[in-house]
Amino acid sequence: MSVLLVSLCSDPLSELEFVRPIEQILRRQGINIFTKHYTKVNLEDVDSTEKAIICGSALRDNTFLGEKTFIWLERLDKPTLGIGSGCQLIIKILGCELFNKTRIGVFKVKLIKKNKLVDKKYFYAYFLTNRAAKITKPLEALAKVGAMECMVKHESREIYGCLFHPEVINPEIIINFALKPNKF
Amino acid sequence: MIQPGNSMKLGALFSGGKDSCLAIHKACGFHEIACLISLIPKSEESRIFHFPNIWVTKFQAEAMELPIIQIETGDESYKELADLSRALKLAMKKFGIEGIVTGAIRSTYQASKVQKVCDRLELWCFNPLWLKDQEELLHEVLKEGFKTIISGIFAYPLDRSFLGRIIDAELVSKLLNLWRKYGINIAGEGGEIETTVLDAPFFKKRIEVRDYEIQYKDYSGIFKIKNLRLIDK
Repeated sequence: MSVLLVSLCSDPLSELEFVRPIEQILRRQGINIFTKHYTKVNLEDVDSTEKAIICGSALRDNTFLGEKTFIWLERLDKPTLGIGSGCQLIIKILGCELFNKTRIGVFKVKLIKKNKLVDKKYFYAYFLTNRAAKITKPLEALAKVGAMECMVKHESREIYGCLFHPEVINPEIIINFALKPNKF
Repeated sequence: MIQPGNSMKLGALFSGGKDSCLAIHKACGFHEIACLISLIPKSEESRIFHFPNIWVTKFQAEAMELPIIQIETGDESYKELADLSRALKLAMKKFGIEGIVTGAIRSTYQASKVQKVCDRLELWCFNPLWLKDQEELLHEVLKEGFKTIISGIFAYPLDRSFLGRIIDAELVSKLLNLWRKYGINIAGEGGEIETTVLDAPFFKKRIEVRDYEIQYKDYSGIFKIKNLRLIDK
């Protein structure tokens, strides 16, 4: 198994907080990882790995949302998981609307659709986000915190997103994404 | 200033222990540390038992040649948030900080509080040790040449013999064995161990402890520094 980890951090110091912990989780599972900053990712990188994880970034780091360098993501046909800002990016690229909504801390999440990443009806997750989204097709919501949709999946492709940070108290979400076989 | 450059000016939340020092050490590679910020408990009990060497932070700041903002804080959570906010506003005004760096590792409670205050003040928040493996963290403290002593112990089976000991390879190995056997958090974030840094690569002077006192009872104790001096490196 090989996973492409994409950093959205405009500040390298933030990578220690948002990228390294995910590398640590995957390495412990014996998974090969290949980390690249989003400005450096090309289609060859995408072709050479089996799955991709787009990592989060600091609350004040929104540079990636103004970029137009995500051709590789638009053409990405590999299973992909977006975390925090990475989820925001997937939501934006797939045409859903993002709006300002700050949620910081640990909150109870309710699963609303069965999926391969989580098998609990309720779970606690750590949020560090200042955006939420109105989920519309081709995405569908998998989980909610209050009225806010916080976990999504593409209706027909293996593209997932978590607005929360599973690396903090739900590492099994990352492991399930990386290790469980793909299914639609 | 530690690392002048075209980067951000950061304030470092500083307790005087290994985590805040390691976080500063990492941040120095990317940004300028403009000041240290210490919250000092108002409660005498908190100060004596959980922050026995908080007064040393002033001398650590001098050893780093950095200014320090020290703000007294109450025990209640809402007061702590207001006091943190006050300290950060002062650092913004006096030193023009655009963000902060903390030594948070695992505590979502502490991390959330700091993130919320930074969000309100539009400050960047960096936690370069976040979720770092505790074994890796201790090895890094050694590898980077920090001189750190254990200044507080608050859990079985940590006994008097640990107080004042320098964290070296032998002690790290001993702590790792205790972690495997008893599950204590050896990085210390759970409050089982408090540390005080006497020297680090970015210190311009090192601290020499000249007098101390050990208070210990039933696997709980402190190594209280009573007198120190700064020595040129």
